[in-house]
Amino acid sequence: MSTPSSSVFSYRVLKLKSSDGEIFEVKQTVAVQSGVLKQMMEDGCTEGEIPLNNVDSPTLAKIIEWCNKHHDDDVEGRVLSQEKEKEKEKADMKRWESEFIDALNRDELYFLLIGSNYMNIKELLDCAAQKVAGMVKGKTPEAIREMFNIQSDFTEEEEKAIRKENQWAFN
Amino acid sequence: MASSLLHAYRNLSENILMCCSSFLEMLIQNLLKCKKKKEEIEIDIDEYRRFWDDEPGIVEDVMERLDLVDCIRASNVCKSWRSVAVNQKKKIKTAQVPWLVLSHRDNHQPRTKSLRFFDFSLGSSYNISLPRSSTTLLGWWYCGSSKGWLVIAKGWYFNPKLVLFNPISGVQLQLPPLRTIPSFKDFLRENNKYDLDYDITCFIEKIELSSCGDDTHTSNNCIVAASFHDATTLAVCRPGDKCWSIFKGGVNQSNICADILFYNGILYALIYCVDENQYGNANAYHSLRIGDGDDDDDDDIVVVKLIPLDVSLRTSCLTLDPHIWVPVNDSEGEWIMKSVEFVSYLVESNCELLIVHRIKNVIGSTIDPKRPSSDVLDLMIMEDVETVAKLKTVKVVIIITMMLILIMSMTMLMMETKETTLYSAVCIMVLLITVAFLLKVTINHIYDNINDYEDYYLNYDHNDVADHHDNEDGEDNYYDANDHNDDQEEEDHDGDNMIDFKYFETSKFEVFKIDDPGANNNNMSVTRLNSLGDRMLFVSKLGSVSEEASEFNQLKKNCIFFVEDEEQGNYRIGISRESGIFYLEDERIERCFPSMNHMSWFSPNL
Repeated sequence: MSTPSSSVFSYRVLKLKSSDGEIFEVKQTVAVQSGVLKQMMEDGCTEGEIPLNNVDSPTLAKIIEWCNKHHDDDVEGRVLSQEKEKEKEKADMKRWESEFIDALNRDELYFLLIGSNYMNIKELLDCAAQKVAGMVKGKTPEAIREMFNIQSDFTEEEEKAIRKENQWAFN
Repeated sequence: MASSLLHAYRNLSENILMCCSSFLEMLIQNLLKCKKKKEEIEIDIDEYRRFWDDEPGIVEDVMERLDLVDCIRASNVCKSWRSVAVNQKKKIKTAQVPWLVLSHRDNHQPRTKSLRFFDFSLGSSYNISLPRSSTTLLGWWYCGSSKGWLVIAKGWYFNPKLVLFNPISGVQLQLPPLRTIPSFKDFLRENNKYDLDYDITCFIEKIELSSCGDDTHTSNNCIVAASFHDATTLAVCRPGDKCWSIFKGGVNQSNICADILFYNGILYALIYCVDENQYGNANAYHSLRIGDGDDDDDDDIVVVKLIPLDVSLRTSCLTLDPHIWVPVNDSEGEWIMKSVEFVSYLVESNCELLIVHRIKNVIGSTIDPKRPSSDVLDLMIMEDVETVAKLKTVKVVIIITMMLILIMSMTMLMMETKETTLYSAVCIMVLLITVAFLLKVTINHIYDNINDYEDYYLNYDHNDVADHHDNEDGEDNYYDANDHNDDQEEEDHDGDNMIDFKYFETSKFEVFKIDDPGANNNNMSVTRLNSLGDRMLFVSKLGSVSEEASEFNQLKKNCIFFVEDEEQGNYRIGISRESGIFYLEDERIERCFPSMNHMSWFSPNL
């Protein structure tokens, strides 16, 4: 039995265990951005290590980096500044987000998508999916396959038939 | 000594051998490792592909952020991606901005075999063929669109068959025939009277679907509402029904249905009362039974809510001044009428129900055909002479070809039955005479038409001012003539009548939010919106949509895209070929894309 104060203290930091066994400590206020962790916190089952079987350590590190950037540490402490400053902050965040996403390579991006989907972090998922959409935009099916290492499992006839259905989109 | 040397040598060789072996071992191990690594990489790629397969949710997330064309291309990548795109249970709503449906009416031909669309965000256009069948040799009438479906009609003008067509999936759904609407017969009679080219799209004002439906079960959960015949008839049906169910609760000649829209499952109809005192009398809620009436279990109930237009007018700063007549050049002979008119649209935007007023300046004039006039009119009339001539020539060619085919077939028939050549010759003679007669009639018709136009055109140079103003009894005459353009056309044969001429120019838009769409009409209130936030509206008479502007589609927010939507049909007296973008922020209008008649918006969907 732990004392109330110690339990509150341990409650403040969550221990996340990646698929390859590495432990990450995350503040509760940061972890709340993940829908899954938020639910767990509400259910009060965040004692000990929380295994995240779909997320490996480099991805988890990236996700935590994102979450750390996207949460306000002391919202109450800071005087909410004027509109202009808010706008600027917003623009800065946008720039940081795009730099963060652009710095990822294809695999990292993919695993980040899986991870944010698994952990249910909506903003990150939005951002990553938008990036992938941007990569797909204007590309032919062949180019998309090459980009994501996907093998076509259509037969030649099937592919022809599908193309014929919406011929206008391939001109 | 020798033994020790030998020993040392052996040691050395052993050492060397040892080294060698360990080196070899290392080498082999390394090689193996490399191979192993390679194998691992290959597995990685496989796994990677499998991951995309395992995570349809992620593919969906990506596809929802693509526009339609990219989504279709992406659905061609592999089977699992395709299954996400064509999922029947859960339809993907792509991030597609509405397409502009381009006019297909070259030479005034109302039917077409394909439609052309323009995508603003990509700046590209697509040509999509409409379905082909034996009944569509002349093509289809395009009557509007709603929620990813085109409404097109085929068949004879006196019994057109309406079809819902999704040009992306290729699915077609039958709608009940227009003949089941009582006012359709009136429409045909009117058309007959004025000898207009039959264009059934004039009959259909707007068609609105309750949901985008899923392709296989649309007939069960989708309700189609439509306003017909100068918006004096409101009717609903379900795809596959045998007849339209007519709404009898207060849409008629004096209560015109300015626009209709399904919002939260209720059909909202914006009602414009010709007599202002009538506004108070309109009942708010009505229920309308849809179905063929023979099977009660099969019937659905649609709730119709009427919104009187004066709700928004009360708070509008718009004043509808009476028409003002202004003399031109201080000469008493020429007058120009100035006034303000408006068109209203219902739009759903961001879960809110909006009333949008498009306010137009109208400049009208009665122009004496025998006096010099503006270049615009000259051009317009020249254009019409050419197009009418072309159109009639096409008709003549068609008639001749048909007759020739008939003759051929008749002759063939004669040959087979081995009748006398005399008999067949007589037949051919008779047919030839018929052809000649038809030809004569048609050509006469063309010349009549052309002569009429040329009369106007040639007479512009004559500067005789005097004789026509006797005909003008002032404003009343104007209005009458304006209401009956066609009557007037007939009168024009006499040569000394006036042409009514109107020019419309959109001056601005006003947007109102209905605060509580569920409220009773007495308590209904609206709020004027000065900004649409991140939204853009696409308005047209045939249907309006709201979309969010984003970095992805690179369109500007807080604006209204509008297209020309003057009377369809054959009234050539009004000119308002304008379309453009209205920015709410500074009330600026950008006329940045070419204006043509008969354009509208279409939101394509998978």
